[in-house]
Amino acid sequence: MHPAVAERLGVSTGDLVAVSSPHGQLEAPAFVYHGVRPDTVAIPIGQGHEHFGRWARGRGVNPLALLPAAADEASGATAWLTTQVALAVTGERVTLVSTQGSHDDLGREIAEVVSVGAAAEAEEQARQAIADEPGALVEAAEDADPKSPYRWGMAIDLSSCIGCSACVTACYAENNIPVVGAELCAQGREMAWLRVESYYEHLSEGEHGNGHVDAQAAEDESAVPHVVHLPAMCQHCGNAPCEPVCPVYATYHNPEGLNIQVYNRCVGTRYCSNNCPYKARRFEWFDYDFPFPLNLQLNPDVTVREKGVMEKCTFCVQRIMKARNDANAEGRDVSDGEVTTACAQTCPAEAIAFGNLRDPNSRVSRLARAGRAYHMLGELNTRPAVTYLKAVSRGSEEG
Amino acid sequence: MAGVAGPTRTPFARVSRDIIGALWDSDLRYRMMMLILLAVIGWAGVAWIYQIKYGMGTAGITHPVMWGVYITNFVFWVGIAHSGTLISAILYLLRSGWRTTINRAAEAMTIFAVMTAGLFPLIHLGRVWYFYFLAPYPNQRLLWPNFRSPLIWDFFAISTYFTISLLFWYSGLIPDLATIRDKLKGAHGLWGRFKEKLYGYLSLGWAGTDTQWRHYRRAYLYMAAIATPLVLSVHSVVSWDFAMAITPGWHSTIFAPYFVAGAIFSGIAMVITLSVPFRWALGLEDYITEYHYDNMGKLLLLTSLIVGYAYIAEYFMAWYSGDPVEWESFRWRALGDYMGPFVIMMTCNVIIPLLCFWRKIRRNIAALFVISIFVNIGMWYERFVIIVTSLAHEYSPGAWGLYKPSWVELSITAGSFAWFLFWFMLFAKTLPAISITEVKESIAEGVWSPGDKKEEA
Repeated sequence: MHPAVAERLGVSTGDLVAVSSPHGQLEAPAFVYHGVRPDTVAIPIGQGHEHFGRWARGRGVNPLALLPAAADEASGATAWLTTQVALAVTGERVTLVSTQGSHDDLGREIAEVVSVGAAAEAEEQARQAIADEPGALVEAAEDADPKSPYRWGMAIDLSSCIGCSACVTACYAENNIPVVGAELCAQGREMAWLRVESYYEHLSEGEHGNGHVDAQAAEDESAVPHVVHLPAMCQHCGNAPCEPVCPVYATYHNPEGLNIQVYNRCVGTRYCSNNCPYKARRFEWFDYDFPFPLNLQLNPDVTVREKGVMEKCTFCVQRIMKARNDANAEGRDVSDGEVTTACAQTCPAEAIAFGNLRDPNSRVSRLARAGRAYHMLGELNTRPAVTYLKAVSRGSEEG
Repeated sequence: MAGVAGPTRTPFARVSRDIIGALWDSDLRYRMMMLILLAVIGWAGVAWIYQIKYGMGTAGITHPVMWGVYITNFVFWVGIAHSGTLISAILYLLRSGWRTTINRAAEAMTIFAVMTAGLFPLIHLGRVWYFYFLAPYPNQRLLWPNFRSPLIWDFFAISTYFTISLLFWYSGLIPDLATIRDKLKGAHGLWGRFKEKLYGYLSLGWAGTDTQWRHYRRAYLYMAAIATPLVLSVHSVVSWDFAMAITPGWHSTIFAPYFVAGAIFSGIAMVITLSVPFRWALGLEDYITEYHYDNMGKLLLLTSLIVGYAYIAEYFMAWYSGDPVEWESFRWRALGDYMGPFVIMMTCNVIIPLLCFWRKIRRNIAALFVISIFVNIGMWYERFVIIVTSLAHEYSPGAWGLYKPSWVELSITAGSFAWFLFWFMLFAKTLPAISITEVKESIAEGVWSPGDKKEEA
């Protein structure tokens, strides 16, 4: 619910709220969020199962209970958007887990937004530049062995990203990432190598020095900031801050420009994570179980890590290895589109492109030269291999 | 120097008698205290084993605050280790006579503090069973540690410091060990003969000849000269663990001098904290007097002012640099979720030591004792504030988080204090806690003699 509604009701995130419609009633914890209209509450569907056994029991609520049995007259569909509800405070609280610290990027070159006009102009210039120099490579392509035909890179279009988190799920499945549960997530021990951060489009304006969204006064109730979704993972920096600080070379730069984590060598000083500005690294706090039958879905090509080692996005190095081996066997280089990461493969909006930055015609190279291209926290000179494309503002004058 | 005991009524004989007389006999109070310390160490050992078995998750450290109380303790104990060498080496080279009664205890403190600090890099390792990967040992895989990593610099800095401190301490002990050996000559019983033999071996055949003294004095001087730069270098290297990282709040050129001053500050505070109960328990009030506390109070004040200046300079630079990330980090440090530790740090390290401007307070041992305890607390919190607040509030706002120590971390922290005190108490009963030789020199040179409070100084 919107902060203005929360203020009127006197609830904060985690307070249990009773939601009732003429057709039914349920109780759900409030999550105060700028990204929803002030006259609306949003309840996600897909939870509150009654017949899926012990794992599904007691998880979330089913908002269908609030909907009328008959279809909405105007649309002919279920009345998802037109059911009117009343809210009441119950006085109880539950712990809601959020994996994001702040939704305000403080104007830090993280979730960048441009206006339509500026984007069109930049794209025009970029198209011109590509036409003038079709074979030019992006700067990040330099950060690999000069003899290597590859510098693996990624491009992510924030305008295409819809924040569905399918990439996160794919990453968990591909890379044998343990699912640790709400309690550990609340302590900050989520293991996701890839996370989708959401940032408000407007909040950075004039609000420096205030990191907390809930402190934002909702002066104008109608001002609903747009949300930019930002899939964030290891940026495979060419000038990676994590690499020089590791005392045992457990993290290093490989000839193809990948930032490699050697699990067997890692002793777990965690210095690399402290020095990572993207906070992309995860630490194995425990030995996590994959109880039967979950062990059957482990990817045999990926190590299951033991407690005490650092891990992070590998750009699905196991897929790269396979593609390279296949290509080598046939005496050729890996061609564009032959290898992709689990996240890029899964993205329904094709927001993520993966490929070789040393191939000027690869999709990722072309996207990396786009007018909207920028590097997250690029001013730190980390030379990331991941290029983001600025989201195009749905607002009127955002520049 | 055959027959040190000599005529029993000379001041020299009294020094030997007083200092050696404080050794060995342990009363019930002492034994109970040792038992309690051993129990705390044992509990900390259990906590560590638990952590090794189940993983680092049993500690409170988390994403993004991957260093917490363990590294705080590490820096704290390395800091404590600094006063010993400062008092022994630098003040020796400066010919400061007042150091003679506290240098032995301070050096012992140094060694035990390094022994404590050295445990924490191991305790905080995710896979401590592979700790030897950090050492440059020959292996068939031709793997070397990364010499660009400040953690490797730490490894060398700390081990060098420990070696030099130990040798320096030991060479200072040799004439005193010989004094004890002579005193024990003809001791009765198995235990007495064992002690005589042991101190005999440890005194390396010292006979007190002129040649030996001449060589000894030269060697001691050179070792002091070798140890002096280490006082500056070791904590500079420790500070680079932070300053070499790009983390806002850490990445700062002021860190090396700031940490060195902080280390000496906390080290002096620990010397005061320990020496007050220690002189009382061993009946050495005549040897460590108001005169010495006055001087230590001055050192405490000086280093406190440097540390206070560094705090202000950090804020000034964060503001003056115009870097919004840096400024936000410092703003949050003072006003964010860790405001409590920040206020403790400022109060204990900057405001309370200002009391040392008054001579009356410096010469009031009880007052100085209380101030020193505040400084110890404040300096622990200083490291906590630097480490935790910087990591919790970094570049990526989406990855901000908070940290809270767990029972495992708190147990091991308590255990580190017990471990340190255990060694110190063992030392107080087995080795002369005040340098017999140097006190006698002070008397002979007329610098100072036992019981002299130097009121007019």
